[in-house]
Amino acid sequence: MSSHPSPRLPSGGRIDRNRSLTFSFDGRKYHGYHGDTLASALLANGVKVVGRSFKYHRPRGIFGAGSEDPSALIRLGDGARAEPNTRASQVELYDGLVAHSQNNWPSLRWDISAALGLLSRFLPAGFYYKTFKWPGKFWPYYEHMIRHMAGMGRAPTDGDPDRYEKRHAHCDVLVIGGGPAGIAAAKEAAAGGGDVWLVDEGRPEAPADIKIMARTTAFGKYDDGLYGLLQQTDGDPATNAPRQILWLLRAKRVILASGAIERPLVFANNDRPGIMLATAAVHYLENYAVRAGKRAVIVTNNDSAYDAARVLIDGGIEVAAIIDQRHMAERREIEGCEILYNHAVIDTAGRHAVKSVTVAPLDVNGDAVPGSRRRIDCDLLCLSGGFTPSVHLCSQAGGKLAFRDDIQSLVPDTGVPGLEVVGAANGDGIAEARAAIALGHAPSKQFIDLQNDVTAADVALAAREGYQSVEHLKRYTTLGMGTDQGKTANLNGIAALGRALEKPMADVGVTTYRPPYTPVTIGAFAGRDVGAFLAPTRRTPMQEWHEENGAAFVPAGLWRRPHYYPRPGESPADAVSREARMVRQGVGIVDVSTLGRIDLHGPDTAEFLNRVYINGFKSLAIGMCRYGVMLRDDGMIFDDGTVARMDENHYIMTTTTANAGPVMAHLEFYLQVVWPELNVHLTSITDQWAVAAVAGPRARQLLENLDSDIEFANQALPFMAWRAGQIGGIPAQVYRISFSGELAYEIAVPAGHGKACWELLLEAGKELDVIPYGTEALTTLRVEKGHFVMGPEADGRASADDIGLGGMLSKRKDFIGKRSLRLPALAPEGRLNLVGLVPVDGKTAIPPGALLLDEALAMVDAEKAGHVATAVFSPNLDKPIATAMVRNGRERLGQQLWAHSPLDNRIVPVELVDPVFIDPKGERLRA
Amino acid sequence: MPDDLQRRSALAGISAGDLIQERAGLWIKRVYGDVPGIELPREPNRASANNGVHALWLAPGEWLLVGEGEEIDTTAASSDLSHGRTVFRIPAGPAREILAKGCPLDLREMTFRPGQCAQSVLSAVTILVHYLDDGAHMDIYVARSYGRFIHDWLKDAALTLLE
Repeated sequence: MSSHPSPRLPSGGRIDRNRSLTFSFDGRKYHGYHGDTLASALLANGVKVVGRSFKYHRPRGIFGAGSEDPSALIRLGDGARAEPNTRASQVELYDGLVAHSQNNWPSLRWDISAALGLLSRFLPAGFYYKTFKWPGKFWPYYEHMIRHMAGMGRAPTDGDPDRYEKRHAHCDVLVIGGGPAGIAAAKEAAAGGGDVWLVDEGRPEAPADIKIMARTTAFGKYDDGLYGLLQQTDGDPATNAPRQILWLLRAKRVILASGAIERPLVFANNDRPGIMLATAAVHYLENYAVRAGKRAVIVTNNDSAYDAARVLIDGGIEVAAIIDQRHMAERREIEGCEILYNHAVIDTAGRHAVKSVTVAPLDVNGDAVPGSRRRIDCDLLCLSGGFTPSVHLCSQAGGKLAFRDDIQSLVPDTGVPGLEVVGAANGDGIAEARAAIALGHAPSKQFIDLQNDVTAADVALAAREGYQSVEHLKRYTTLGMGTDQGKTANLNGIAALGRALEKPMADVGVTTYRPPYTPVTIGAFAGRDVGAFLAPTRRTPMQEWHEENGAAFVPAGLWRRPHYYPRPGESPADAVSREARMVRQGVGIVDVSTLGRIDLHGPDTAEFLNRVYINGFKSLAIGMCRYGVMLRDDGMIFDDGTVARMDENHYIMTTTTANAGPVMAHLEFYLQVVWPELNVHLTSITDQWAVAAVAGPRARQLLENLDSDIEFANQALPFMAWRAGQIGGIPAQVYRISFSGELAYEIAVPAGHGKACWELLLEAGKELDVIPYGTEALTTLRVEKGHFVMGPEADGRASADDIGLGGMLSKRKDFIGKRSLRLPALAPEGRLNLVGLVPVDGKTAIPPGALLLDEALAMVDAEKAGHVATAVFSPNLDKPIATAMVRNGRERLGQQLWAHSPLDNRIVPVELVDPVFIDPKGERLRA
Repeated sequence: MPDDLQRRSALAGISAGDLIQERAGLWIKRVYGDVPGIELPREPNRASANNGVHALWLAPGEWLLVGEGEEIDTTAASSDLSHGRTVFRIPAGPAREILAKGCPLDLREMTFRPGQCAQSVLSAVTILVHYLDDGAHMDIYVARSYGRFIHDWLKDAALTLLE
């Protein structure tokens, strides 16, 4: 260890010296105190170099005191909990903290890339666009190289074990910023009553009637008065304590008191460790009793530097000189401190950290006078380039900004309703600053944006190359595009562009401020919407049974439906074939509780249904069901299902599983907006009912085995009729409707009895070899029967006629979508029709989704005849079959096409056939 | 219908816990007009209590009737939802904190008062929240098929209560 006195003063600061903490940085152990930040603790331990820069891998130190620091970005934590690009200035020190520097190899001190000067020559502004454009085929190699070289930090690859949470909140007044202006505003707001929130990145102190949100950043203003706040908490996976909380806050009134951020000054080698904002040096001294250096030079263009100098001197830091860029008539005196007016710092020296600065007088144009330079030794160079109001949230909210010449900064101009900007954020109380001095040719890089390594030369180059809009400048040079959003860089960038274009700063303009103000981790945005909570899961009343009986599941919207029920040793394909065969030959039951069910009540229900469906519903008798098809406004099929008439003014509609929500919204829209005169009430009753379909030639036998008061005989319960009664004491509705083309019934019971009813059905069917079957067998059965479904066949581009349902379109009434049927595009000629396919050889599987072409060897741009919709193996026909949508397909039955599947490079000759493969006369379902 | 036929809850086989309780066995009906003996709230998002039967405003001309024990006779048209909902009861304080983690409603004591109800979403699931007259509890209604998901979600949210 060195014999130098510790940078930590023996007393003072807002730290608890009784609570010593141990932490490590790059594997080395250090000590700090409770109340320290990682930045203050590193400075207190004399650590100056904390990272390497983005492009040039230059050594960088602690530059700022808060979220503005572009420079001291470290990786916090290890392994899965590591968080890259964390600002050391905002990390509260805790015992056992582990941090690492970034962007260096093999070590922070000896970075190869920087040592070889590998990077600086070919990374000027726009290098990305220029260097790697040609030849195009080399791009993958370039990209690999760039990805390796570029970027900041390394994201952990393991799952994040920490817990993140989201909270919605509401308040009357939100005050952003806990400085004097913010606290005063919060106190005033609280005196008026109501909920007042005070948000600050640090730990502000305020009276008890104000809700203090410490360590919290208001990172974004969104529509409808929504503010995003990110709160740092002390996460611990062991106790579930969240690491960060994302607050979604809606406030009636917002007061933005976000203060102002000091600007650096631009000169050669202005990025060395030991160079920091004057406010930062004061901050570390006052709050943490840490001297950022022993001998300081302050360079300034405004009066604030003199106060800073006095604080530093009082804290025991020698201030060798104040370099004031202004020409001042009135001279000041500070004991032991040389004050040079009309001078500038033009360069710095020091291998790893600043050791000296070169100063020179300025001529009338603001250029440094050559030949009159001198060196001043120092280990701390404080930059005091004026203050930039933090107007980000005001700008995000849509507020326009105006340039104020006296403070060389942008301030809020037009107001935003509900948002008030106060204090330094509004430009109030900020010292007048001299305009930026000339940035002539410098021997070395003059940094404007320390995080993205954008230099004054880059800005000048961009301007010369025609990127003269500030928005173009930003994209071309990446100025202000780092995680710090250019908090210390943007204004100096505007000044440099103004100089290059010989335009006043006010005319250069400003880039759009966008959320987030500071980076927000993906984990915080995800919150608890991870794992099982990523999306809701819906369960049918029989779900438990399916799980207990080995069903393989398939997602269907938010449901997980049984796909098939494999028996021991059975392959999925075998299971599906067995199920489809056993249903055709015997009887099976399938859980169809997921279908949408809508209760319709009211005297106008029949009229309403008549307008909603393409076919007539006025003649539907009580006790009967009818199949119906709905169109969208544009004439395309929207959904299909059945409607049962329960009573005079009471109907129950079923929808497809996927469209249950959209159909409900569609119907509500028409009732509320288009036909408010119709007296109809809709209620989704999907969740009220458990529904099992019993299908197969032995379905009636099964039902007759049940203890029920319902008569299942064909005459008593004919096709498309429904009856109510009880089954084994459970109130039930039995609908004789079929999806499989088989004799089938749907048994609906109140959901709480669903599992019991399912078990009763299996028990009653035991002697009939009843099986449960899944959605894949259901698909096989419906393809065999030529039934279309929403999705594969009716994919939003199919009309009723395309599917072969043209005959259902009523000519005697109007219905939704009817007028669109007159559109030329819907004329029958040239439309894709639903047809069936079989392989010509009778055995080759037809690739689902394949393109159908007229020739075996078609060119890639050949016109398609159509496409395969659903392909299955039919165990009942013992061959592969498919549905397809084919241009003029109904006229082409018997012809041959080729099914091309570019995905697996297969070509299968297929024959067009009628889509109804089994029981075209419908004798089975009426049996 | 025999009385001994037990209705199976969507939460059967899992315990709801002390803080988050399931209100099982309720009868629930959506009604579309006047019901004898029930004072239907005419103001949006209000609930009334009528001898143990709660009437919750849902939409113009639509209410949810909820009760324990004997179902009341509704002469008006109605839709039975007794099996279609899973209902949770949570003490009001924790309920506010738990719901805030997934529901954008302003449920602050000063804005959401006892005797009020509101429909919203909780983690992408439609919910109906009823702040009971006693001021001590909130009831949360979700569609039965989401019952298990919301139960798990509520329990997870309750892991990190501040109070």
